Amino acid sequence: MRGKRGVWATRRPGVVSKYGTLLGLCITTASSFFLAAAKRLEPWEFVGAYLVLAAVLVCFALMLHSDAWPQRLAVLLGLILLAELLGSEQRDEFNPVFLPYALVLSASSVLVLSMRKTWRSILFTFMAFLLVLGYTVISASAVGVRPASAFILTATWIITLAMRLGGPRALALYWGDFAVRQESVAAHIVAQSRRSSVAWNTRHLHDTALRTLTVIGRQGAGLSSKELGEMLDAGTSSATTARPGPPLPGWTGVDFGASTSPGTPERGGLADRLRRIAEKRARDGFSVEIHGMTGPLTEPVQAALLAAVDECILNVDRHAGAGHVDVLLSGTSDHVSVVVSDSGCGFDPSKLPADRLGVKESVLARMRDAGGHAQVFSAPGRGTTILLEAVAA
Amino acid sequence: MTMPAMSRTSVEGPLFVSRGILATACVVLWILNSYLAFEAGSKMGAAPWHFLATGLDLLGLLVAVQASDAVTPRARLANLRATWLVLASASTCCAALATVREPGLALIGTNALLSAVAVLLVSHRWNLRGFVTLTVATAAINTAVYAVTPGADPRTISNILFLSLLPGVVGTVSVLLRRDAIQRKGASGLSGRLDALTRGIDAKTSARELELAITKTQIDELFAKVVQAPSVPLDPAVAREARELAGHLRQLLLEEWSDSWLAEALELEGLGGTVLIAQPTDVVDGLPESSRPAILAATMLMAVGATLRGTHSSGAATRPREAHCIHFFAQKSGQDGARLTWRIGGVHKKHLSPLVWTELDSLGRAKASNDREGCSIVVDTAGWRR
Repeated sequence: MRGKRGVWATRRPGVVSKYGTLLGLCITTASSFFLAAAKRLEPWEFVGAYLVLAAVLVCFALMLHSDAWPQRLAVLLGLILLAELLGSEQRDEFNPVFLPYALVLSASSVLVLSMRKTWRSILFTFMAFLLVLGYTVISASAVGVRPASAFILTATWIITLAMRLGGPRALALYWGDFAVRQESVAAHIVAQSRRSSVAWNTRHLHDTALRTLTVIGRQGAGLSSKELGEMLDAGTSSATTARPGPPLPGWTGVDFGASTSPGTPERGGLADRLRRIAEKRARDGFSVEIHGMTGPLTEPVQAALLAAVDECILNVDRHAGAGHVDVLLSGTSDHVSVVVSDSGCGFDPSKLPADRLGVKESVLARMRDAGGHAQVFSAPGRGTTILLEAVAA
Repeated sequence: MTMPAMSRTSVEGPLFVSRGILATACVVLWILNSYLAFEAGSKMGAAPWHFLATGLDLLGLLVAVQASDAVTPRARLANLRATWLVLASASTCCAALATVREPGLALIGTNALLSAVAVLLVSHRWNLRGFVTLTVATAAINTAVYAVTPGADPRTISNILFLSLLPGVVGTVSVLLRRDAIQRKGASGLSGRLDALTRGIDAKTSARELELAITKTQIDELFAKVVQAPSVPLDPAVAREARELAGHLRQLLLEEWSDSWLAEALELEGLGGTVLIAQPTDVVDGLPESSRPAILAATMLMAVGATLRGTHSSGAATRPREAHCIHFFAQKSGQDGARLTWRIGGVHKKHLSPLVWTELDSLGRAKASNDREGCSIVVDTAGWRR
């Protein structure tokens, strides 16, 4: 229900105005303690002071709902009256009640925070300032002391004016920047989620369908009919799948037979499980030896290492022309490293075709996604060494 | 939707909304403080404590401004805070000594208020716990120093304690209220944004889904054909078909990886044309997962941060174009770390959002430099072992 500006009960206070009102409430409430400490008050002054205080607090409370000018004027007059009721000696800065006196008057500065960007509102606020300043200066002059409280009053009004002028813009900028950061969080989550799905599917397709297609493309060279049949049935060992990433919406329904995620993880440490892979990959003229041991590893890290090493072994078998591959395991308290080394034909890692996903996705990206790291050291005619590193459990 | 990602909605940026307002308040109080001190000094003759308190307050103010500056390296902040506390304590002692010689309570009261407001400025880049601790420490020092001066009045002691704690209480309440609002806005805004982005990405992937489904059917048919006649060597026509399908499948998979994660996320936000990521992108893709949210947030804030918009337009919230074109370059550095470089055209580093520096600080030590055509920011990050 919005009406004409400046009309009673139609001015909805903004955030800055509400902050100001709460601040005024806080200062004025605190001043009640100092009132109690003012020893020289007459009983009627004491009662009157507390009645005025109650009225000011009610006006402040009303200002939380509407900061129309009558409330603000009532607050202003109430604060001046309250200051006056503290006594006449308080204007002297050598008097112990000087600070509560200055504080009560300074509480009027929060009215600036209710100022609107209209001439009427600006004029009203300026007149309010002149009123309270005039009272402070005249009352100090009447007693014959320097108006130190007027300086304090002016300073607090300037500070609240700066808050009024800069506060809304600062808040808008703050929330604007926060919104951008919020958007970045959402964009990162969505992009990351998509890439995780794509990565998982790419590796999976590479390790299953593409491997099988490659073998068929070579007319099944190097495999017996039985092995080829097994490959077509099972695709590849599902135990070496790094992680059953969330399927990308666009990839749902695409199933190459072996795309199901592994059920219960195989028992044993990394070395044991690698030995089982080595036995599986070994054949006449090609052997795999596993050396060393590692400490305990988390399941995702172990699965990533298994899948990456398996891919390395397959690459040696298919592309390196080497009859033997060594896998060296070592670990410290916080890291584990696996070195896969062969003395085959080697290759230039910088000239690896972009469409060769084996090393890029099934080894390097897989290790990165598991929080680890992989490096390829190779040169034509000088064999290949792949270093896989990850954080130990 | 991982929890670490969710928790970033409540990441602490600058503790208070406006450093400018806090600095203004401090300057106004310092001017008042100086005026009261000099006026008292002129009446009572040269009183060194007045001038010393004012000088120390000015030094403290400069240190506080430095400590709240977003560009100040985080490593220096602890020293700056300690320096400020020493200066503020010394200034309080001088003000108390001046009060003993009767320049009135206005000076000690203003001094206490100035220290209390300066705490907000000093703690601007700290956390709430640090801010509260510093507030309590400052209030205790202010009150204790006055309490031991001859002729101290209990009413004035309680007043000084109140003045010393008031800005701290107001600051703490505002931080808590804003944090609550951030949590609420964060939860609702994030889920809405996630839905919108996911819908957008779903629409883009439907074409690829269809093509992949067709390829899948062809591969299934080929496998079925081979299963029926698995004798090795296989038929050359089957082998050729397998090679063609493998090539096509590789092509489909490669299309999924045409962009780096950063380019993809920026593209989602419509900033693909504003932020140029220098090739090759393999270093960008090799950046650790833990550092990626901060890199993306910092880049987006550089490109479209509200603070940036505020300095370059009169309220228009349009996204910047050529004037704020950003180049991002990542290169390997050290054992497995990376050096990240942002080049921002047409923008002074002072105009960047304070949140940019908060994000960059979480990556490593940021070095920024300005020139005629913009600014450059370099951050060296630790690698995956971090």
